[in-house]
Amino acid sequence: MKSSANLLCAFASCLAACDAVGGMQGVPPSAVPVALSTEAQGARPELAQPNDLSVLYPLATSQAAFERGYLTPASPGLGGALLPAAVYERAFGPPGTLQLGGTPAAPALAGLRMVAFRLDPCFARTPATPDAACENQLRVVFQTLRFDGTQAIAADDAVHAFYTLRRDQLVAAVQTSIALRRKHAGDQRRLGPLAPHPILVEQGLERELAASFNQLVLQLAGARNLGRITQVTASGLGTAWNFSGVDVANGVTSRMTIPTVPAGTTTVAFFAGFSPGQLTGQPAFTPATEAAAADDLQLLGDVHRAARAPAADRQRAFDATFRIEDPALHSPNTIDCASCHLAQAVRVMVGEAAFHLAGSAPELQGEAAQRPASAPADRDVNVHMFGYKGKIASVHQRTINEVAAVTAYVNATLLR
Amino acid sequence: VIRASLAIAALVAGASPPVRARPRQDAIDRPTDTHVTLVPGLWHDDVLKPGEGWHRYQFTAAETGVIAFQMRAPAAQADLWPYLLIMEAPNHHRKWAGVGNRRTNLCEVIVEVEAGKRYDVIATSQQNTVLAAGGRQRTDGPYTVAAVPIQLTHRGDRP
Repeated sequence: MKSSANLLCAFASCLAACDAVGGMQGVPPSAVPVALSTEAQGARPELAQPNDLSVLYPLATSQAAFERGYLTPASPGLGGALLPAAVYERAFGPPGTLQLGGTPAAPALAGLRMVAFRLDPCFARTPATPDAACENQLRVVFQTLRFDGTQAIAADDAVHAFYTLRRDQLVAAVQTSIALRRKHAGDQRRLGPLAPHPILVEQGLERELAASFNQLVLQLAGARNLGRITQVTASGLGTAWNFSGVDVANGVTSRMTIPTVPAGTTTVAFFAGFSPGQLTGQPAFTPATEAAAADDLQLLGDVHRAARAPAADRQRAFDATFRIEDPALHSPNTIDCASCHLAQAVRVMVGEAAFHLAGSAPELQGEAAQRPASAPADRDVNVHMFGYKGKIASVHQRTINEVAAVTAYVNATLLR
Repeated sequence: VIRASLAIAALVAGASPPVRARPRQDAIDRPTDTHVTLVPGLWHDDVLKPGEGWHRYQFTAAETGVIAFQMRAPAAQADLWPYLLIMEAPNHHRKWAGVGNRRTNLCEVIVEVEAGKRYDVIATSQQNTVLAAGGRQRTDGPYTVAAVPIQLTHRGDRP
């Protein structure tokens, strides 16, 4: 963790890849301080903490919590359902419709539950983006959940819904989330690194905080301001992941443009191969990226291909994983979904495990620098950047970096 | 005749055209059309069921080259050994067939394809290829199938 990358000014999330505007690899790192220190935040409970801004719900441990604790696509939001069935069907076809190449249908609406939401005052911002051009946004993360009698379990899929907010709405939502934390946990409570929201974990999903969060989301999001839907499904008997999305304007959907892949590409995919615990897919990424070499991590998608490559190429691909995870350098506008969602997996499973590579990651401060401990069983590919795979909570480094930047921006700009 | 030709557990080229003796439930001469067009690099999941033991997919080559058609079932699934049959459509005058490795349950048939030509990709299990006349297909289980572009070098390596 030793680079000078600027995390103050860029916010993004990768399942949102949108209109291509070219790579950001030429943007020089800034020397702007990253975040307020932990001490300063602790002394001012009115400032935001990462878990105030990106809220991951715990998996329900009772049937009642499962049924009442999560919002669904049909939950009544702003101007209609949170994720209207008609819009979803226009985007991905009637239930059961296969996607490109017979890849799985988008997750069925009926099984989706909101497992997380994220507040972002400047989506996909780069250091060059003026405040006035910021897109204030609420993102809702849905996954297919089922209850097995003791606990909710997430399928290996996800649907992200993006809602456009006004700046005053965003600020009010941030303040509400902070107020809820202070109400339920007092002014001294530090929520720690990104993880299932600690107070939700303690209270369970049947108590007041979950209801308050749900109410907050429904007040801010719905058919009226839905701007984008992205989805990922698994195929290849659980060894491949397929990403696609649509932009939504007044209920009309159009296929999202995915950057750094050939024009017209509507789906990007990653294939891990059939060797458990190893990445051996040939090809791993479909289609191959057209990103600049410094941002091309795809060599590490297949351990055998990487082994045949020169060491310098492996190192460059390894370094690309950090660049892609750095919100000061990349956003969904500059890198394709698969490269972003697989950056952590290829780095750890191939770069580190197979070739013992090391590199530089963006420097974070305070709680943002505390990465949640990996679950022992989570050795397989996990594309969920802020959600669940099965029973395992998943928070990718990219998300940690983004939320660190958002937290710093919110505290320095909106809550000062 | 069909069964005999398909029972060859290896790569087969130039097999005889199918004999249409009498309507069959679902076999090489009348597979279940999935209406799925395979796209290079994307994996399609499906399930073989009794009575629908032969699934047909389409693949059209965008460019001349080499495609590895692959089919895999869970390795523990002893009643579904992947078996692929690739035919030039619509005349079916060339065939390539292969049965999966029974340890990995992965079947791969490598075909040199021509740009613009359409190919039928028929996925079944080896058990269905050796049924006695009128025998009931009992294959029941999930599998996945893909058309994977590859480049063959003089050493036989992949890129």
